[in-house]
Amino acid sequence: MAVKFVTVTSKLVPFLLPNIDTDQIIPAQYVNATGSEALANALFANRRAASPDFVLNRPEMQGRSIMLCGPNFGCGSSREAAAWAIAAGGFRAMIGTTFNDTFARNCMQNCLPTVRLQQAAFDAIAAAYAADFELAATIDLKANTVSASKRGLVFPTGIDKFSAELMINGIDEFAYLLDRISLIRNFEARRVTP
Amino acid sequence: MPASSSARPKTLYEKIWSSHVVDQTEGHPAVLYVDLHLVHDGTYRRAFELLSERQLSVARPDLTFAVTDHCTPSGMMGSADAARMPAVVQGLIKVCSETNIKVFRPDDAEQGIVHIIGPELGLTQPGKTIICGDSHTSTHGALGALAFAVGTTEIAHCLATQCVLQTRAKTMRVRIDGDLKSGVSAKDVILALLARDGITAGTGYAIEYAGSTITRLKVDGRMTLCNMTAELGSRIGLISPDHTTLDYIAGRAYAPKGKSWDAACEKWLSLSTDDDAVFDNEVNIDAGAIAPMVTYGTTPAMGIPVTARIPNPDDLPDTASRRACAEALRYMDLRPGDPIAGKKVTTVFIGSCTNSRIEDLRAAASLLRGRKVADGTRLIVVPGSQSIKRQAESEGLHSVFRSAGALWGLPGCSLCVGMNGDIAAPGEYVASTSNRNFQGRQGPGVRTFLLSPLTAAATAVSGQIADPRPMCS
Repeated sequence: MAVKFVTVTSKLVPFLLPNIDTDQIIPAQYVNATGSEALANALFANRRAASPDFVLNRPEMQGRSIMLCGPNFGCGSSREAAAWAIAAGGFRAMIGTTFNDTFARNCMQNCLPTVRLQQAAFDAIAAAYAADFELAATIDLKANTVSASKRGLVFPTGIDKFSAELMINGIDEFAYLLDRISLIRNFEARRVTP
Repeated sequence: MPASSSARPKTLYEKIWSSHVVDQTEGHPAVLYVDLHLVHDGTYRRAFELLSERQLSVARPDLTFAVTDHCTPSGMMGSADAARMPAVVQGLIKVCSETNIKVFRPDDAEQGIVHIIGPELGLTQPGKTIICGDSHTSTHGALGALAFAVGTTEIAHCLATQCVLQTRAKTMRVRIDGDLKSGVSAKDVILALLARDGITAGTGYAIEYAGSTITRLKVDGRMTLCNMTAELGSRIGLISPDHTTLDYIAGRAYAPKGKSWDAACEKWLSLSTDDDAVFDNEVNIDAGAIAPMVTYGTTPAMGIPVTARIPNPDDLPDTASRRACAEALRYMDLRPGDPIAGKKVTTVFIGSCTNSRIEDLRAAASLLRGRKVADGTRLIVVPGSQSIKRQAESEGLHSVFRSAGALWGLPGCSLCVGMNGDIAAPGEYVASTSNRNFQGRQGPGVRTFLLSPLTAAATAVSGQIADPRPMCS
């Protein structure tokens, strides 16, 4: 994880249907795409091709870097290419209520926070967005807040402290595991297998 | 440790988890040791790049096995040229030879879908922790292993350290009791559970299946259940090891032999969930009440009995599900209130890590014997592994399929995920024994009905979604 995440402020791109799966986020034929241009083009490729009205095709959405996500976002396939495509597409974070477990972990490995709000908090932000499509939100991992300040909305991010620390400091789980390599080798030496 | 504490009844999940925790710092995820790391051609590449970038090597090539399945040509449809190995398959073979990882190539006698060959080779064993960069890794839990999906970065973590960081899951028991009616299979059970409880029912839980139906279910069916546990939002499906488990593993290539077999059996049986173990959540399902199921929408939980009508979004309880259902029916181009039976399909696919085992092929063949695939419909049968293909051919099942007009493909994931080029045409209706009916899963604009191998066979013969029961003798 070369990048660090401290704060991001951006207008929002809404993906409010429930259960948006990783096959939609990056269709299987693009899973082995390499390079950020190819990955960015793969982001929601089928949806963008199928409908000119699809949210990512709308000119006013360009340059925005926070997704506002419906429940259970990122369900289905465990492909980490979904997180890579989201990052390549210029996004830095997601705000929702619930995310698929594996997807959220893949996002964290790529320094993409998946902010998990209580339903009422999410509804307040979604309502503020519906009233003003230009609404900007700020995610601050150090302060552990997501805010839409003009509206006076401030909520905790719901991101566990361990993951937040990794993202803030740009440390990754690799480093954490490698720090414990002697513990691992000792454990391995003691193991009895059938 | 006080006796009362060690005597506390434990679940299978707790037993395997606690014996694999290398380190657990308060407030941090656990460092979990991995006994078996399965790698496939769909998600490996960046993981090996990460190792190179950090100048790390593969810690335990002896605990790592790779196979080509996702991108492997099936010899038909979009990957008709079986002789042409895609670059991503060649890349896996190359990187494995450089790192001393055993890899099963497309032409190897043991090749097949990763979640099929693990159990088949005896690599999957009770009590093991198993990871793979694929959401259907939960399949291996059918043999009492703690198996879960990881992303590509975690593949790299495991390659370098043989560990991953994990947070302990809550536990849920799904108790399934009663006799499955004729024409009803494990696939219908999991589709019924999904239809009832929804695609997030398992989020955060390790799910153990238990009950009289499970006790009587063969390992192939148990794997179908654990496989689609991923569709419940869970990463882990489990079934406590019993004599059915041991009989399945006995004699397989990587299974313990001789005296160590006896010791292993004793150990494995002791892993079963203790009688009074407490789960964080328990649900029940009556197997006898389940009918053959078909999905009508774009999540695996949008399923109904084959005899039922497509629901009306307006009848659903909340705005979110009404919107989701309406969007699904728009994508599927289906009308509320129509019977699902009778919906025309142009492709039927029998395959995938969910339903391409020998029992699945036997079930489909039993209905197809002496019948023909309907005009205007194509039936594609892709066995899950070379071993299953050989077994099916020795039983003459391939002749049944071919006589009915079906294509008989080479083992791999094929049309389930379409990464090898096997996709259907935009707008096409596909009846599929696979696990996901998401928008575009089987190709852009493709509409998928999920069903069992038997219902798929009945559908192929009819050219439209059909109840298999009247066709079963």
